[in-house]
Amino acid sequence: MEHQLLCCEVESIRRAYQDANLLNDRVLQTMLKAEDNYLPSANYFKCVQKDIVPYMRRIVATWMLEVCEEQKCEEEVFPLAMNYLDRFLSVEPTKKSRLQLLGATCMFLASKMKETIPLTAEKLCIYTDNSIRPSELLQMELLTLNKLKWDLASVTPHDFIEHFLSKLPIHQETKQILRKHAQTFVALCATDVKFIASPPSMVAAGSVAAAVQGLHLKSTDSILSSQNLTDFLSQVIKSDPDCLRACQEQIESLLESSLRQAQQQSHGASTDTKAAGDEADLSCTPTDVRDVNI
Amino acid sequence: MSDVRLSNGSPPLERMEARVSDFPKPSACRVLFGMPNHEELQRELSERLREIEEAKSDKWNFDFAAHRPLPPGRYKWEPVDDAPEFYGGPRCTPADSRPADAAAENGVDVNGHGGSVQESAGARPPEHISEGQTDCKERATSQKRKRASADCSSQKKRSRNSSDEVIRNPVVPHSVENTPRKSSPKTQT
Repeated sequence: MEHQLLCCEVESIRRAYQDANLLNDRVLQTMLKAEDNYLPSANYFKCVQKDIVPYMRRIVATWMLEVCEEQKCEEEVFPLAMNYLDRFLSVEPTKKSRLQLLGATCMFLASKMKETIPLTAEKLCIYTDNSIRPSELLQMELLTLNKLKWDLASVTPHDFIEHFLSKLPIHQETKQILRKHAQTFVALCATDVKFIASPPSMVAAGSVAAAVQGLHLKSTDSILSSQNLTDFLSQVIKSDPDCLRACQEQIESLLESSLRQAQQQSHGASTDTKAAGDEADLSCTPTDVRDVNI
Repeated sequence: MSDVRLSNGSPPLERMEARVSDFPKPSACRVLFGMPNHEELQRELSERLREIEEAKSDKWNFDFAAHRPLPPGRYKWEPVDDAPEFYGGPRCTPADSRPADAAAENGVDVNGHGGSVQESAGARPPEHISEGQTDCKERATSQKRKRASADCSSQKKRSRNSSDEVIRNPVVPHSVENTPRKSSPKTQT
């Protein structure tokens, strides 16, 4: 008995089962209300930042995603870290040369929030090629916390995905693939500036809809037809169906362009220099998603 | 069974090996926007943190570094005798506030306390609020009016609800328990 237990504990992180009691409507309503409190401002590049422009956010986001993937972080860590980053940048003019430090700090915080074994300051510094020091990271952590008013319990799209899936008439197996794809879309959205001010529920609904579409699940049940699903999900998140449809389309085109980019890069010389690696990582998941068996 | 250890207890600076992952890929370790100037960065960070410290000090008229109340201000700091033990640990009680601790142990009423924060207490009617306690809400409410006359001039610079509520409340934590929590003011409204 004891041996068995030890074995399990050494091998992997133990986690609790999903609590089905949390998938009820009361929780969902509360999250829908709460999510607005954590939205970054849509136009901080214009109104707050002088040194930082959108493409830099993409660079730092791509790097952060790569680190999170390499470190096998929980799926929510990356979107949560991006939420912290955007919220910080919404209130604090920041120099370009501090952006990577901020990114690392946000991963540090998000990892502590969500993981049993969080990322260490040292490890994150290694990922900056030791261009920042752990002591700096810890100070930046304090500064970030203050700017975020110590409120780190942001609602993320991940919180909604499970709710949506529980409402769809699909098999457990399909659900897993669907979840995986939707989570990948969520991560993709977090790298793109267009989604900064989109409510997490919207990103989650759009991602689930795009995943259903991509997996061609719609034929099995009428509720999964594109039209019905969008209507249904928009009701669930109390939003306009057209908004949701627009969001879904945006996700699909983002997916398409990042796939194209990845393909181009993999055709090119495979000296996997910086950008190439990430984009490939990003989109190694779904595309013509049916073929992908995760 | 007792060997269960998911974390060694000090996540920020140690335990690199426990992570279930390989060594960082060299390609992922990169400088994105040039090498930062460490001296400048250090200076900036210290400066920013000092600003935060000062803002907090001003807000609570309390010197958090020295664990000492600062005389003029919105809040009057007094020791309480019924703070939860958690707040009374050694790290929260620097040498100069021991008297408060001692008094607390004697079970003297807060109003009668002598302590390092006495000077600030002398100027105004005594109040006691022990935050972080479950019963603090009622007491906080009962104390509300006493502080109503306090200068709320700086309200304008505060952010909305919670801080306003804090102002209306006499927040009187003291040296043994200087972790004012928003919970008590918040729950009133």
